[in-house]
Amino acid sequence: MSFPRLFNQFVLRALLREKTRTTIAALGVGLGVAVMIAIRLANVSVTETFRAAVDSVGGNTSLRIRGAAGRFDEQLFAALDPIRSYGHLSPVIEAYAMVGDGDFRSDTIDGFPRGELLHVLGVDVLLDFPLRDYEVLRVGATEKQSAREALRLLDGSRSIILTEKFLRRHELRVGDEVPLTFGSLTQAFTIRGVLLDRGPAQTLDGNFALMDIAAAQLASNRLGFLDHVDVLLRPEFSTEDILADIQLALPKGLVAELPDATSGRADTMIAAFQFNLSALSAVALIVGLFLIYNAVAMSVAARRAEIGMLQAVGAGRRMVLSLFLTEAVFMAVVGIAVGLPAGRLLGSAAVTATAQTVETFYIAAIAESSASSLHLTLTDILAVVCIVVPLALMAALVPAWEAATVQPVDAVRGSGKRLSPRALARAAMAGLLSLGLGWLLTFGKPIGGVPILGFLAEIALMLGGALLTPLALRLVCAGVRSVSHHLLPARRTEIRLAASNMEGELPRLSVSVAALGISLSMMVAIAVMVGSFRETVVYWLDSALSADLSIKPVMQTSAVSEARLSRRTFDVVANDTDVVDTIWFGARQLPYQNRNIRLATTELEKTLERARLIFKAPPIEKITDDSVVVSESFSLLFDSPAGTSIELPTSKGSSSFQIAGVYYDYASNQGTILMDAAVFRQHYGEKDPLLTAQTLAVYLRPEADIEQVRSRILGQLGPDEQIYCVTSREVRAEALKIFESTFAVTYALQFIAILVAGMGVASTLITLIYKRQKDIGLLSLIGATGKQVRRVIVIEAVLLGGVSQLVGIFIGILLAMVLIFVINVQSFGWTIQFLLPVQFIIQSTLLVLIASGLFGLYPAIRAAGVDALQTVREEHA
Amino acid sequence: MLRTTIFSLSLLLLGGCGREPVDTSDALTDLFPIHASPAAMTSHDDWTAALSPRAFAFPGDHASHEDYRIEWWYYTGNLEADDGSRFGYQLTFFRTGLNKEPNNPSKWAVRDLYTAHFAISDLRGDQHYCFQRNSRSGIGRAGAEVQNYAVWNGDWKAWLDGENHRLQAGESELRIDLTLSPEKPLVLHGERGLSQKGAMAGNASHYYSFTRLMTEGTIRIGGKNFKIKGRSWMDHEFSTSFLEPGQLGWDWLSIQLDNGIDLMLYRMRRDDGTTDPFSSGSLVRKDGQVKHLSVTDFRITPLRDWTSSATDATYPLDWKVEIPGLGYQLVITSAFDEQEMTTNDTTGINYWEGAIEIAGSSAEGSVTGRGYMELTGYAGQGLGALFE
Amino acid sequence: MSDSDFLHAENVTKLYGADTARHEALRGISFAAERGEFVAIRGPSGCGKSTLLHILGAMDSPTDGNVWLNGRRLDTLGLDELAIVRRRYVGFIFQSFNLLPTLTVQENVSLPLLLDGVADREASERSISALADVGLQSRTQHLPSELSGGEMQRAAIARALAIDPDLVIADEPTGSLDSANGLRVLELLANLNATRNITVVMATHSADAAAFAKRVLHVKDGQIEKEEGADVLSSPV
Repeated sequence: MSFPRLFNQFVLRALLREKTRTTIAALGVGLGVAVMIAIRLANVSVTETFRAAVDSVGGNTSLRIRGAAGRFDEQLFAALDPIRSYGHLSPVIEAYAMVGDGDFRSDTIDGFPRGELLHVLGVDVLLDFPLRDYEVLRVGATEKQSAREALRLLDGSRSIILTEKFLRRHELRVGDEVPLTFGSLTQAFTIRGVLLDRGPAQTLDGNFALMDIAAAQLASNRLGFLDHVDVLLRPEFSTEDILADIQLALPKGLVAELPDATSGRADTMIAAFQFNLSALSAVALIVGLFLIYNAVAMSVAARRAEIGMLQAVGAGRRMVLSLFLTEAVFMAVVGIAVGLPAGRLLGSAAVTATAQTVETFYIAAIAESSASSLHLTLTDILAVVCIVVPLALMAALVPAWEAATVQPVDAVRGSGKRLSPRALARAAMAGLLSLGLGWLLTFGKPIGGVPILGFLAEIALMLGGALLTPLALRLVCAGVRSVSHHLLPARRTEIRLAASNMEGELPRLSVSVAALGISLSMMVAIAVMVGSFRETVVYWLDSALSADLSIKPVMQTSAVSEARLSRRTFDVVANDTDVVDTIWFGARQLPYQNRNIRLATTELEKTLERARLIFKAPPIEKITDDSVVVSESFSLLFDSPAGTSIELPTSKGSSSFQIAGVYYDYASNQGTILMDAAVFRQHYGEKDPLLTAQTLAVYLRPEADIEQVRSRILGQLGPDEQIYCVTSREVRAEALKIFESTFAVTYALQFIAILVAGMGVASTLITLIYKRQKDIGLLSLIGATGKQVRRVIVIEAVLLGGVSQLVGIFIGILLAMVLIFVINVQSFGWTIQFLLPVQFIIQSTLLVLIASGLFGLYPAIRAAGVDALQTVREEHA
Repeated sequence: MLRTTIFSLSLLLLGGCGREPVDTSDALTDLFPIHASPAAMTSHDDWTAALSPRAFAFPGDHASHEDYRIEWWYYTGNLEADDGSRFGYQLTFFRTGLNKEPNNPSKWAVRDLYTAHFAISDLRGDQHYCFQRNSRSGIGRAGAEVQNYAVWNGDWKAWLDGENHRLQAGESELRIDLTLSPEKPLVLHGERGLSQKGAMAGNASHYYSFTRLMTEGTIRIGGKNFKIKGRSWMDHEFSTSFLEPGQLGWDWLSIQLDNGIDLMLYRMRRDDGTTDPFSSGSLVRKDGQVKHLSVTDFRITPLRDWTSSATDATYPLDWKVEIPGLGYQLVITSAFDEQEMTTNDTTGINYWEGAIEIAGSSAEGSVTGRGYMELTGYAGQGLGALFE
Repeated sequence: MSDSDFLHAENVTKLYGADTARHEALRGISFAAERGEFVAIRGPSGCGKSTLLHILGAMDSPTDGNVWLNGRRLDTLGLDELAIVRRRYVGFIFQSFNLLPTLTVQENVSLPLLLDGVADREASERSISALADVGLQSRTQHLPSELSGGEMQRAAIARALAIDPDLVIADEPTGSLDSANGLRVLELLANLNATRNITVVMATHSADAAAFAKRVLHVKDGQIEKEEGADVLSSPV
């Protein structure tokens, strides 16, 4: 018989006949593909959107000159003349503004509003055109170009050019005014032109604005400073060759670097975001692989009965094998077809959900703009095919091989093979070794700043868990059997039957349970980590928020943007009768080694007095001219404990500082250097804008009414000063809100894990039922009622889910410990107090058990419907 | 003086950056106000108008006049190396006031736009090189001193060194470093230096020239330094407004004759093809005495057209000049054709500015000479529209 | 109700499938057996003997006609009620021994009792006793896969005995066994029939096996073709 004909008769028809099983298997593969693709898309898309934002704003820049300490004095621009022989120079101010006309404050009572973010590029429009691809700039509707109109960008300090997309979205026209908030000040800017949707205009989905450099300096409060100078080299120079020469030609305090370096450093900004997604993606991958493996393996295993028939009609082993492998590929393809579009949708959802959890809403904006532009590339599809098809083949190979080599007598006698105690012991031993290896790996140092060994430890732990699964399964089955009459005397027979059934399928079930257990362990691990982190931060918040009120500009300072309070705000607050003291604080990015850190300055003495810092390492005794305190993450990231000294770039080149203390800071994982204002002034100059407050901690007279003070301050400032004026309680609530939304991701994770567990249980059982039809028929034959049969299967389902959860909790806690004590410390520099979220674990266990039971219902109903006579009838066939 | 247009044209750079524009204007019309108001970019009221002759005082008046909106310093000349190689050069600094009192304390705030043109004509191989710069003052990037004459745009600069004018400019491998000494006193054009450009009061400029500057220095071209000698012409003109609707372009000639006489002539062309009545000229005698020429005092007639392959613009390159009252009959020939100033890659503004040869006769006999010629309004749209 | 009404089928019809694919397995068969009778049903493959056996053993319901077992009407019972009848009153022995491969021999034997709610201890005692009756007392903790074919069939008989059945249904009980083991199984059945007054209905196509019965029914095309009495059978062949 020919292969296609056989395939049609024995595979396709069978698949059609067994619609439910086929559907579940294909859906299983599909869900796996969907989850995999979703996370891949989300990760890639966010990274790409981010890079695209950096790159398109960077334009044709061949290299970038910046201050060693970041922003630099504009007077140094004149000293760049020697560089001009290499190419074209363009000074740049890069800022962010919040779009809005209104009153952000109305929201501040119950939280921090999320405005629309605008990436503002301030350039010398006379110089910048060779550098950036402002492909088409329109300043008039009818004329293609109009000098007079374009020059209006230079005219006045509040002119702005916006993108076509932005204008359409906001229904604005050239000539209209748009209110923008830089820092705390809201001002109207006049739209002078339109950028077509090309080049930098594509940044942040059109939320890009072009301003003249002078206006940008004024608006972003950076008079006298430049963010960087972009260089377009003459074609005869190659960037790599010339970089060192340029470096030498630069005045002190300035450095040249490739534009990539900026995005490289900026990448650390999305690290936290990506970490969340990566955790999801690890789960997704394993779950996806499991689903696919399980679906195919079970589907093929279920067809053993047909092998005899095939062999009877003269199909050789090779034929049988290839038939089933083809079936596996067929299912994989159907699954991929279902999974790809589903993954696209899931990806958007994942990005949107995760976007809620990130520090800055710049990243959120990027994530959102990328969520809307997720697209499947050929590479994605190929990657999925390359993972799924071989995996499906692998999953099919074992049962298909068994099928091909099955002997008729085996079929008659039934398998009934139990895993030998020796094999069990061997697997368990390997599992323990693997756990030990994982433990050893946790002692490793990070490699290139990445906790690679930590991740390897996680893998070893998971492997250990998987290898211990057969033993766990065996012990649980035996245990349940022996205590069944105590447990549920009325159901003891069903429980025993279920346990025996499972023991009889130990090898195959071990694979399923191990995979389920590992996906559940991810859920547990992340829940433990997030829960621990939350508690730790709450503790920190309670101590660190000693002020009665915190005042910040509405456009908050973050890793990318800086926002300041106006002088007026400062005065209004300081002069309020109920205010006894204020402490101001400012921070900005500082390039340090190969990343960006936060350079912060404040009135350190008062800060210490008010006990706003919790120290990890020796509380400082005295602040000298050269001492700083650093955050724990800085200390860990750069291996700089208290007492050591560090070399920091300053506006004068670089200076050495003594680390006087290390404090906990969960507000940023970038690593912060906190300097007393006096020290800062000395090293960075009097004029540095950082000496203007970004936030203000306000202390009130004990008898003052906070609400009154707040409304008095807000009232005096009027609508043009956009600030948050929040109480410590509100800050705390806001921080917790962020955690809650992080938990939302955990819940999503939990949901996925439980769904997958349920589906895994169902597909495993459905397949087992096919395999055990004769046994089930027999059970019914010797007098088991339908109800009894159903119970047996549901109990099996619950046991499967339960053991998976057991493995999940065990491995999950180990994973969480590695996450908290190794990976987290190495990549974020945060100490988190380990805390077991008992409630979550109990709750998720109950959910898993319930879900397993519910998902077991369908196979149970099918089992009860098995014709009791099927087994005896076929003897006479 | 009418060279002003060129820098004004250069403002166009803001609009197009020279790339092939994608015509999507139709799709975008909804983003613009329905009635686009052609409001002036800056009110001229803020600036001082050239209404009456000025009491010039030198050397102070060589420097910048910041109360006026428009000002330029214009150097052209014919140079000759020891080996007989001949070159022409042009170095021009423009200042255009955009916003007399910017409400932004930033150093980058633009009060004035500084534009500069630099060109060299290499008569050995008929090669013409031209460059343009547009700058704001920024951090000392460009500027014009108000006390002691010095004007610069990047490393292109002109300044006064005693009586002498010093010029330095370089771009790529081309470089000039020149010292210019007046052979004649400076000349005030028009009515005591007030040169009327249009019918309206205030549409005029303060305008003077050094018509004959002995020039020495070096020119670097093709990797080689030449010690050169020659003769230059300098114009300095400042005003607030001058062009009027209907004025299309102009032909401007500076002529230095061997007999010691210098001649400046310009013809303003109207869009109806006629010569504008405010066309004029000056004849500077050997002793520096000036005779003002009105539109009726001279006649210039194009003799030969040349079409640029770069811009498709057709320029009249050879001319017949007649000043009947003084007995001059001159034939002007371009030193070579290809001396078009093209700024396609930046502003898209094109004009012809180059070295010329003069031959002919005066009442005293035959004369020859050299000079510079500027032809504008032959490529592109009507320029007057830019100066409403 | 007399003893002759212990197992009674009246005008039983069984249809499989529908329309053109319809197959009439039984066409109005009537059958009766007394308590303690040993009846063999013979006939070629597909004659309907298994179907008749299933209906008599409460495994299947007739399409038409009535069936009584020990005074209970079976043809009107639902699936679960039939299951309860089976586990209380009917023992089964099949060609392929039909033991659950994951349970030990003793667990297999006690399963019907446990399913019926019999206490663990009693079920255990009864199953051990039943296994002793079939000579498997030493094999109680083995898995079926560890037994020989004859042993498995004896274990199946023990399972049938453990419930103390009124009726044992045997469908080709020797079909998968060699003659020695087959003989032993048949002797066991005859012995049970004789000593415990258990009614045995056995389907077989073997004349040797049928020889153990007191009465033999010949079924063909879903109808009883002829019936032979015990005297006929016991006469030398």
